Amino acid sequence: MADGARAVMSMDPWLEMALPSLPESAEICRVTVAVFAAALPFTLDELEQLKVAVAEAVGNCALHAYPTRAPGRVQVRARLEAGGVVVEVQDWGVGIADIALARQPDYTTSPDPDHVGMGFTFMEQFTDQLEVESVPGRGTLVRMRKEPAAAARDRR
Amino acid sequence: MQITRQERVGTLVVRVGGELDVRTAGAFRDKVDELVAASAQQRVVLNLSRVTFLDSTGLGAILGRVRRWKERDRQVVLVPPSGVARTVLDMAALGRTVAVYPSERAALGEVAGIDG
Ligand SMILES: Nc1ncnc2c1ncn2[C@@H]1O[C@H](COP(=O)(O)OP(=O)(O)OP(=O)(O)O)[C@@H](O)[C@H]1O
Ligand SMILES: [Mg+2]
Repeated sequence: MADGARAVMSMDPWLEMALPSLPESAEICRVTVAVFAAALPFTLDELEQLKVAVAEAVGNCALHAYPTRAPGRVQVRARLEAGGVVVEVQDWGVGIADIALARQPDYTTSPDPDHVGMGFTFMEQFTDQLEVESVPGRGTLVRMRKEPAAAARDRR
Repeated sequence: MQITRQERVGTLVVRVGGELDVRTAGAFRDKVDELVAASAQQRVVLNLSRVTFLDSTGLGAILGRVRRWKERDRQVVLVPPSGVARTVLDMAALGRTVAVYPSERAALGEVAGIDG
């Protein structure tokens, strides 16, 4: 990529937050990211979908990432890129051994019968792209991209 | 999150409003379980129409309540939220385990109609 293009891209707005892995952080992050993403022509329902996806990713950090030394650190980054929003949620906790399995609907390692194992399913359903990187003992990075449906339609 | 209740003849109505999520699900669970345990009514209408936000933890808490109350021989019916919260609820295929009504009035009418 030419340096000029990179310089322009670096002007794209971005957002970075570092928070404790607590349930409250899920609420703070979902609201903040939705306000940030509202710069794009998302519908209100699409922003609500984004909120659910962000809440699931941050909620997982609160519930699973740091079982023995909670709260740990959670970092959330968002950027507007090519007409969409990219959100990354990262922790430095226990990680996920089998990512494909963890992403299955109804899969949960929680002993609490009230945990249904739908978090990854909602992230997948409510965004356009979901990537999960994880190393056991090192941590987890969830990356999601969402684009306003109207913008995607206009391009076709 | 707001929770109110109304005792009717044969039916306990539990109305939930606000955000039902990883932060509030525990309080929701304790509060509504307490209301149901304290009520002599056999039927429970769980009215979620004023729930504005629902995540998987909130969803799990709802499913858990339905399961638990049924195990305790309550007849449970549900009034869903709207918008994306409704989509979240629908993705759990909840309709297979509990009757879902479009409004509290419909739920009360139908509930009364069941045993005539
Ligand atoms: N950040 C994370 N760190 C470690 N493990 C994780 C993380 N996120 C998810 N997991 C693992 O993946 C599993 C599936 O996650 P998912 O969000 O789909 O369901 P859940 O959190 O168990 O239940 P629910 O989201 O329905 O309350 C979790 O049970 C957990 O084992
Ligand atoms: Mg989860």
